[in-house]
Amino acid sequence: MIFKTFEAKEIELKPKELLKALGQKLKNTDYKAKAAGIREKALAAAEKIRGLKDLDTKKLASDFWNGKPHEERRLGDLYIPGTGLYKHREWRGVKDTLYYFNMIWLYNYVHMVTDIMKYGNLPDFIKGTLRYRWMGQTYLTVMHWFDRGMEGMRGPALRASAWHYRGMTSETIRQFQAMFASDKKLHGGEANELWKKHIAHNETVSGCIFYPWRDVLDDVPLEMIPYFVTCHVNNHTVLNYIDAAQSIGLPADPCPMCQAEYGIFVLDDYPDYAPIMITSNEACDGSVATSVLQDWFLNRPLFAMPQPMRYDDPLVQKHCQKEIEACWKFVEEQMGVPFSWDQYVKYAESFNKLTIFEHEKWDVAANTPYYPVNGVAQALYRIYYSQDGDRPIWHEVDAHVKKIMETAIEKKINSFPKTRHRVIAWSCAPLYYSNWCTWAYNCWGLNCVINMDSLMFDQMLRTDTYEHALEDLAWFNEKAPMRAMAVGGHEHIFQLWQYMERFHCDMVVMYDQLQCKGMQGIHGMFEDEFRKRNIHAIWVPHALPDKRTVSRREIRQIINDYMTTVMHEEPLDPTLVDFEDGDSW
Amino acid sequence: MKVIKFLFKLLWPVLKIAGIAYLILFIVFYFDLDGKLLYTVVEPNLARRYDKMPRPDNTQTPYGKTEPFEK
Repeated sequence: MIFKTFEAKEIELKPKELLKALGQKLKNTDYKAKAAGIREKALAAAEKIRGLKDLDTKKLASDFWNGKPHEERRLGDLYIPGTGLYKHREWRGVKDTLYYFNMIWLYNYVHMVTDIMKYGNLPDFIKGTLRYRWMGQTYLTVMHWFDRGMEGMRGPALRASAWHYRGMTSETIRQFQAMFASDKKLHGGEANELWKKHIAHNETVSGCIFYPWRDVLDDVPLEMIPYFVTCHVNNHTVLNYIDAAQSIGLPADPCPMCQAEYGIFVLDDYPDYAPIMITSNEACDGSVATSVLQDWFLNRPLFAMPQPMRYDDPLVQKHCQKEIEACWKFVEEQMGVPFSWDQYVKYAESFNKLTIFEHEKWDVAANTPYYPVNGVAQALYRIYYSQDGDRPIWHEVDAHVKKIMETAIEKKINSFPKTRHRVIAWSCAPLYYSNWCTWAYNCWGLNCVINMDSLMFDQMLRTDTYEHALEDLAWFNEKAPMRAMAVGGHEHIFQLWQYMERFHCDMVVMYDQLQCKGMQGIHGMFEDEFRKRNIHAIWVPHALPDKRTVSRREIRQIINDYMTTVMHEEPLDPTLVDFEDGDSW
Repeated sequence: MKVIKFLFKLLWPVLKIAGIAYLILFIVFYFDLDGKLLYTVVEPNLARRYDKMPRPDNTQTPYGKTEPFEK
């Protein structure tokens, strides 16, 4: 057994090792300095006690009941340096602290257990946790992912954003429990009945493609949990897969998302839960390589369904529709289950309801200050559910959020009252620091109202005729994340200007994915346009899931530099300007 | 009245235990004790387990045409 200290040192919990470590510590301790430190602390405490006489008890009571005002929170003081852990969690006032404790922390811990039972069984969960790194190392740290996203949030923003997180957590449990229940590796190498009823697909193949079989077969994206979710929840995990990919001689310069996706196979850390696989070239040629490598490692029937890049060409539409139909034929032939038009209609119409509500949310975000969803919840929830397709949990979450949003509008509650700039985030986000916008609001008053990935898949699915359905599904497929507005042609990438206007944004946080050749190619044109249009834009370099290239601290420093040297602004919370969190999840 | 007294006598220990459990959980929550346990003990030990796990060499997988599975 080992113990990891807050300085990230690992100590073997063996008596000999412990005594050795203790002896070393006793030997190296500067007792004079330690005594001086204790004396200093005692003096400071005495000073504090003397100062108690001047305490404003009214203010103290108000801080306890309502929480401190934004500028006095000193959220940076709560961190244990380096770890991202809290000395103690934030006191948000009685009402919001109790809400966080009861309805977020306790509620989600309880539901993490009940969802395991609901979507599968405990033995499979334990076996999966002990077998897969992406499972054990990530799942248990989920509540800290909530903490990072909700820092400083109050009232409706705290509630609505947490419901988004709850939806994603529940769907994640459903997916990994479905994988574990049918995983050959967890069941003695044997294919059970569930294995024969699953379709595996690349995380960037939309779940909507499989609606015609939703009642009889279950489509589960292969890398959504092992790769995508882990990057957000615990970014240590993915580094193993990136390194594994490079360890067999594959190049290190393609997109690290593609590297991580095939690294899972190199390390044999993929669950074997389905007889067939559907892959995609989305988002770029790096993903084509992923498909080729998956075809090799999986060694089973695989259908590659490429999505066109320059998709405005009308000739491309027919081609894309034929690709989808060929995929459907492949599923029919391989799985022996006929295409069901009725099932497609049922799920497409249900999914349209989610799209309608998303439009309502955008309307509130664009035209009022009462939008109760923070930047990270908006971005992650939208990309997750639109990629995943229709599932009951999304409707449940939307019903809660609708209620909260309507109350906020009715009572005119501004959840982000310290907004100095309305920000739009463009291009692909750093997955290891998706909660940068929570930090940016708390520290600088930068309110990330909308982001590029949220605006993808903006397509209603008609169900009146087969031809219309296919036409819309092809469009939907082409408007995938990282496709339409990242490598889908400069006219789509430059839709930024229209969205800035529509969402009344005055600042852009421009993600600069250092290993995305598509977006690197248009970097200079963006710089020209920003200058020409006199737009404040902060370039944020990153390497998608890999925190080693540009750390979170460096990202913060870039934003800090812009806010002080260009905007000449003072931080709202100075303790958040610079802190070390290199070893945090 | 007797029934209420009986019920109270019956429920009081349950309420006491529930109250203490709630308080302990709040302390765990407020001082981030769950995070600290996961960081110092659970994660490093799980990571060590995964590091030591024997894994097949998937690069030895033959590359060829695959047949449909047997339904």
